[in-house]
Amino acid sequence: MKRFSEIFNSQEVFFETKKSSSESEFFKILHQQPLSFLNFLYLLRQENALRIKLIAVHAQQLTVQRFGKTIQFFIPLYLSNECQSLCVYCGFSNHRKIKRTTLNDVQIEKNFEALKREGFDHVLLLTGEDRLSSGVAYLVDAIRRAKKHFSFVGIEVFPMSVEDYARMVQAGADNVVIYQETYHAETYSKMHLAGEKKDFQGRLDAPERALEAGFRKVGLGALLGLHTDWRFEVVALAKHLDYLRRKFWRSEFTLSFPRINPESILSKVPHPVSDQELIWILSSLRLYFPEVGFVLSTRENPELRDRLIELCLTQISAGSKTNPGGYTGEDSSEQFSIRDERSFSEMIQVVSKKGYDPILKDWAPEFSGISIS
Amino acid sequence: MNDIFHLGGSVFHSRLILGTGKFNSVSVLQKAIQTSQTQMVTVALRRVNLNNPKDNLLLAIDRSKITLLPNTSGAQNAEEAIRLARLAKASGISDWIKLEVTPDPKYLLPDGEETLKAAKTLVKEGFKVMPYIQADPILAKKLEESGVVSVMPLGSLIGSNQGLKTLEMLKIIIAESQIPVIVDAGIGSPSQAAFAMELGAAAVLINTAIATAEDPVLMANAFRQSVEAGRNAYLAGIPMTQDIASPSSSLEWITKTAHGEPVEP
Repeated sequence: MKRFSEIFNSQEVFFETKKSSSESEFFKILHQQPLSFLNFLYLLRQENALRIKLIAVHAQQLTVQRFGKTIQFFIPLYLSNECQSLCVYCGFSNHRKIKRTTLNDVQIEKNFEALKREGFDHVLLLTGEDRLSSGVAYLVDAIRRAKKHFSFVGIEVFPMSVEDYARMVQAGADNVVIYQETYHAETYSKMHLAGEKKDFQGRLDAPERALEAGFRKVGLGALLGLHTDWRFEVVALAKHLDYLRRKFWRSEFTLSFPRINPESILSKVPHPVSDQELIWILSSLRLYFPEVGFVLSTRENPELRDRLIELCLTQISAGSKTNPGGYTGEDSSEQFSIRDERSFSEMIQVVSKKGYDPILKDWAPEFSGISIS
Repeated sequence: MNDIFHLGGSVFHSRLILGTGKFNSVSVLQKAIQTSQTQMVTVALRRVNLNNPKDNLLLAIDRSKITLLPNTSGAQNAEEAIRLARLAKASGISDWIKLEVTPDPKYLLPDGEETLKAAKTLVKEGFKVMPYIQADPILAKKLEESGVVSVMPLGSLIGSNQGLKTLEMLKIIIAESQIPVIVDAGIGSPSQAAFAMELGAAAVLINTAIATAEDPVLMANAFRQSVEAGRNAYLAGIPMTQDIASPSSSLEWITKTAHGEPVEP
């Protein structure tokens, strides 16, 4: 069977669909479940505030039906900010003169303990792309340590081979998060100038390799704001997930919608996505993927985060630091600046006050990777 | 009327089993449990911390009154389900187990083959096994033979609120089963629950329809009433339905004498 990179062509024109249509046609499509791909495209063409609102209302209803009014919490832990890749939008990019560090065993344990004390049970481990300081063996060790403290351990690191991903699964990792950043090959090559990350196709197939290696959960996303047309990114992301979901039908997926944070590295976001557009994106994707977890980080501001929780999110981080060892006061540089600085306990209050149940554990260590018997 | 529900060697009066997922707070869940008058609630083992005696979900349930039915939600094969069940038993939570083996995370449909495999092992280990299954009459009989205490066929996709889409198969399962049949998934409204009970289901399990209602506590009460009503109707013996009205005119002479008086039987 062909890999996604072999069937995906980012030059291809994705969709031609009628922009407007009758009221009755719109309502019919709005309530179609399962929503067809063509009608998903149709929703992304409804440039009418009232229609977007109706899509959002329906997205909210579908989310509550599937997940209830619940929000799961996780915490990112950056293990390293050393990186051999050169990416114009990233705080860890190799060309930047920043305070670089990779946590050692003792520092890792200290951070785990600090997070555990706060009450976190789902952790996401992150690195840059530097196989010397924070490569496969380093991660195997970090995952093994994390599994002693947390029910759920995810990794957001460099793309790997099937064999190396299998080592992550064996070490106990439950989840791989890997964003394509942009699905537009040309834009991709303008953003990723040197290092392993230049390899567009290799990254595109990374989720698939992780799934082949037995990962049970995979998170996808596109970094909104790099490519000129956000619709292109959203449609490509949906195609990617569609493809993976059918091929790896036992696996669970999550989607993220990170927008480039303008305060961080770039003086100007190439193609900013507005709040309204973000709401539109999330809502339309929810109608197309009612069962998929939607994740939001602290890169968005508190007001918007609070609203999106009620829209269709299922998982959020809180009290995050984006520098290695940030939870034990290490002096290191961050990947991007946080906009929602509220603590974990504050966020639990916020979520509860909204009438949502904060969930800290939703995983069993007894779940292993996917074994096809 | 003393209508007792015998299940796994225990005696219950309520025939409404409640799921604990999707509630927007523990306090709402507690009130819903109370109003529903349920005596059995199911809890996902993946959601509770068995090492933490202060786990808020476990604390929410008064186990002196309510039987805790841990479930293996999220297990994708027999092996994972067995491991979860053993863990629950070892930590003293329960020897009841609601066996859920759902390899596909989208529709969460049960895998009959793996469920049967896990059921055989767990029954041998002394568990009271309640398997969640497709409305498959043959599988239901095989599970019965394996020694499970009930079968829990789905009415429709879990969380879908679509009601009894598997009606014809449910009727066969109920007719043939020697153990309680509990309709587990898809019941979206009290009328659908009443319908399942009228068919002769021993009990129903409700979660999404109560947890995601505007007022979960009021909805819990509505389900309590409908389950009772449906059960009573079943016990009372529902008259056969007919598609046409009984004629009372043209053939009336059959029951009458030549003088127009009723014929004595």
